[in-house]
Amino acid sequence: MTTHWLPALVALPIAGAVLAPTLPRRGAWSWGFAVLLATLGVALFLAGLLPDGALSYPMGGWPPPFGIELRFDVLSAFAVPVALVSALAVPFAARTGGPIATPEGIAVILLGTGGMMGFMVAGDFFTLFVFLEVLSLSAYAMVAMSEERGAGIAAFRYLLMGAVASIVILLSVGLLYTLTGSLNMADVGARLPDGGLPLHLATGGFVAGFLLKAAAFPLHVWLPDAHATAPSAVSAILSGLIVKMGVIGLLRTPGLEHLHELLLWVGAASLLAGALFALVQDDLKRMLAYSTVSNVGLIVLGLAVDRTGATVHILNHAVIKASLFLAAGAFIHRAGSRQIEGIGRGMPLTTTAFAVAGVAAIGIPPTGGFTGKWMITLGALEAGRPVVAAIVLLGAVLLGLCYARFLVVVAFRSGPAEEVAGGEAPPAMLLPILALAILTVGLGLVGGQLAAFVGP
Amino acid sequence: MELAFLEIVPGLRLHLRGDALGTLFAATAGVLWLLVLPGPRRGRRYEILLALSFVFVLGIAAAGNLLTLLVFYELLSLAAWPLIVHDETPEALAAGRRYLAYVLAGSATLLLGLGVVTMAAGDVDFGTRVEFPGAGLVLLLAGFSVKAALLPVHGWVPRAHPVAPAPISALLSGLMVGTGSFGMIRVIQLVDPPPLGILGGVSALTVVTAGLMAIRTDHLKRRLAWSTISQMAYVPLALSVLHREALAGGILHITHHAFMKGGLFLCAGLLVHHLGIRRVSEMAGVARRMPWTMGAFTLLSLGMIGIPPLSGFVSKWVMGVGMVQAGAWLPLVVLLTGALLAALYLMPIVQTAWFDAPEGGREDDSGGAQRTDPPPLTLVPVLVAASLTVLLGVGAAFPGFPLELARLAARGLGG
Repeated sequence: MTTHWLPALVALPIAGAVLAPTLPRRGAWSWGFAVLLATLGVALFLAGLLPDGALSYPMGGWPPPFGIELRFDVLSAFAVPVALVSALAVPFAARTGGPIATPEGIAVILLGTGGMMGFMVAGDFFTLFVFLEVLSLSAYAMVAMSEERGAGIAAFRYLLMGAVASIVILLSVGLLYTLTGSLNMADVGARLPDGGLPLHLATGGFVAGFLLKAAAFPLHVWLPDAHATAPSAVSAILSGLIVKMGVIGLLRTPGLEHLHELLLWVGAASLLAGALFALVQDDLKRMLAYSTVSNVGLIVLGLAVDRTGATVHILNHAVIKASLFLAAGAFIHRAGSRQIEGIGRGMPLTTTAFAVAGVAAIGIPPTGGFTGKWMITLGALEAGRPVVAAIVLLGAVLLGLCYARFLVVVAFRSGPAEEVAGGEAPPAMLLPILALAILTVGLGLVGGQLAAFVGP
Repeated sequence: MELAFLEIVPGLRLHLRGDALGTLFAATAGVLWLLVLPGPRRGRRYEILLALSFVFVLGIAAAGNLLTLLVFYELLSLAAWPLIVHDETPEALAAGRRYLAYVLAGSATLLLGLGVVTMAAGDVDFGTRVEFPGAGLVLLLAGFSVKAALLPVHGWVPRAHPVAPAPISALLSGLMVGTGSFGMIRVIQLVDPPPLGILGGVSALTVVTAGLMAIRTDHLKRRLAWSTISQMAYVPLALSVLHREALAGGILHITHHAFMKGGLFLCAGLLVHHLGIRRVSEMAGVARRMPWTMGAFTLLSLGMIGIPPLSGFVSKWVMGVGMVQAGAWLPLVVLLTGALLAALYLMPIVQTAWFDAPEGGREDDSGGAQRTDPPPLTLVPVLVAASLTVLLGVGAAFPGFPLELARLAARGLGG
C-alpha cells in the first residue's frame, strides 16, 4: 500500500505544474512552494523505507517486465535534494522577478522537478527516455526565461546539443530492445549478450549522450552560457540538479563496467579543464558554471574508481552549488547588475554563506564536499592510480584559488556596487541561501553515515 | 582523556585526545591569544575570525588522530586568510593570494599523504605505532613543511607578515609556523622513524639561508619574518636528530619562540602605529622616544639570540645537549650558527635604536627626545612577553613549566 506514494512523487509536481498557470500571479509561487514541500515529504518518506530494500511499483498492476515499473532505489534517493533545492528555488525565483516569477515560470520549474523525479524512478529505459525529455525541455525553457542578453541564444544552443544527446540515447534504447527484447532495466541486465558490436554501440550511445547531458569536457560547451545567463534560481537547479541527471543516467547504463578507463580520463580531463577555465573567468556565475564542469568531472572519474564516493558527491555538490548560485543571485539582485565589487560589505550573512559553501566546494573537511572527494581520492589510490589522486587534489587547489578570488571581489574590492548596497537580501532569498549553506556543513559532519546509506 | 564522535568519512572519525604535547601547545596558544587581544578594535569580521582561529588551534592541539589534525589544520589556514588581508590593500591581497596558494598546495599534499596512510593502516590514532609506506611519511612531512616554512616552500612567510596587522603577524610567527612543526612531531611519533637526513639537511639550509636573508632585509617586520623561518627550522632540525632530549628542546622552542617572536612583532606594531616607522634604517634613536617599547624589544632580542638566563637560551641548550648526546655534531654547529646569525640581524636594531642619533629632520618634527611611549594598557602585552622570556628562562626547571611538559611529550621517541 505504502508504495502508492511512489507514483505520487512524480505525479505531485507535474499536477502542480499543470495547475500553476491557472493561478493568480501573486499566489503562484506559494502554490509551487507548497507542492514541492509536499514532494519533499514524499521523497523523505520513501528514502526512509530504503533500508528495507528498493521499492518497486508496477503501473496499472502489470508486473514487470511486461508493464511499466517504477523503482525507488539508492540513486532515486537523490529525489530528496531535488525536491529540497527546487522548493527553495521557487520563492527565490519569485523574488528576483522577470518571466521566471510568473505562474508560467513556476509551472516550468515544477515540470522540470517532475521530470527529474520520473527520470530517477524509471524502471525501464523508455520511461527513462520520456522523463529525460520532460526535464530537458523544461531546462531549455527555464534558460530562455532569463532577461539577460544572450539567454535566448544560449537556450537555443543548449536545446540543439541536448536534442542530439536525446536522439543518441533513444537510438541506444532501440538497440537494447532489439538485442534483448525487453525494456525493463533489470530484465535487460539479465538478458544482455556477452559482447558484440550492437551492445557496444548501445553502451557507447548511452555514455556519449549522458556525458553531454552531464556536461563533461569536451561536451560541456553549452553549459557555461546556459548556466550563467539563466535566472539565478534556475542556475541553482541546472547546476545542482539537472546535470546530475546525466550522471545518474550513466549509472543506469548497462555494460558501463567495460568503459571505466574512458570514464577515468574523461573525468580527469573535465576536472582539470573545468578548474582551469574557472580560474580565468571574470564573471561570478560563469566561474560557478565552470566549477560545475570540474565537479562533474570528479563524479565521472569517481564512477570508475569508487561508485559510492561518486554517489555521495552527486548529493553534496547539488546542495553546495545550489547555495553558491543562490548567493551569487542575491549579490546580483542587490547590485542590480553583474558589477558586484564590494557588494558583500553590506551583506555579511550572504557573504559568509558564500564563503562556507565555497569552502565546501573546494572540498575542505569537515564540509560536505570533502566526503566524496576523499572517497574518490582513496579509491584512485587503491586502484593503483596515484596520478589520478593527485589530479583530484590539484583540481581542488585550483578551485580554491577561484573561490578566494571571487571572495576578494565580493568582500574586499571597492566598486560602484558598494554604494548601491542596501543591506542583506530579502528573507525569501536569504533564508534559502542560509539553509543550504548550513546543510553543506551538516552533510559533511555525517559523511560516514551518508556513505553507508548509499553504499552497497 | 579521549573523545570520539562524528564519522565524517567512512572509517575515519573526528577524535579528540589530551596529552603532554597537545597540552603544551594549547597552553602556548592560550597565552599568546591573550597577548594579542588588547589593542585597537578592528571590526566584527576580525574579532570573529580571531576567536575561530583560536578554536581551530585548540582543535589541532587536541586532535587524537591524523584526520582530526588535518581538519583543524586546514580550517586554521582558511580562517587566517581574511585576517592576513585584513587591511584590504592591494599588497595585502596579493600576499594573501600567495599565502592561499601555498597552504592549499600543502593541504593537498597532506591529504594525499593521509590517503596513503589510511590505505595502509586505517584510522591512525596518536599514541600508537603503525606501519605505512615511506611515501606516506614523505608526503605528510612535505605537506607540513609548508606551514613550518622550510626552504623552498617558505615563500608565504616573508610576504604575509609585513602586510598583516601586528597581532596577526605575532600569531602567524608564534603559532601558525609552529602548527607545521607540531604536525611533523605528531607524524614522526606515529612510526619507527627512519633516518631523517634529508629533513635535517633542509632544516639546516633553512636556518642559515633565512638568517642571512634577515641580515640583509631592511623592512623590520620582514626581517622578523625571516628570523621566524630561521628560528623555527630548529624544531625539524632537532626532530631529525631522533633523540629524546633534542626533541624535548625542539618542542620547548615552539613555546618559547612563540612568546619571544609574538612580543617582537607587537613591538614592531607599536612602532608602526605610534611613529610610522617600518624600516630598520628609520629606527635611529627611537629608543629615546619609546624607551619601554624598545626595552622590551631589546630583552626579547637577547632572548631570541639565546643569551642566558632567558628562555631562548634554555630551549637551545636542551636541544644542544640532546644533539651532543646523540653525537650529531653537524646540527649542533648549525644551531650555534643560527644563534650567531640571530645576533647579527637583531643586535644592529637594538644598537641603532639606543645609541644612534635620530636623523635631523625627524628631531625637528618630534621636538627632540620627546617621549611618546604608547599608553600603558597597550604596553602591557609586550611587557608581559618580555617578562615571560625572563620567567621561562630563570624558572625553566620548575615543575609544571614548559620544560617538564616538553620532556614528557618527547617520551614517545626512542633515544
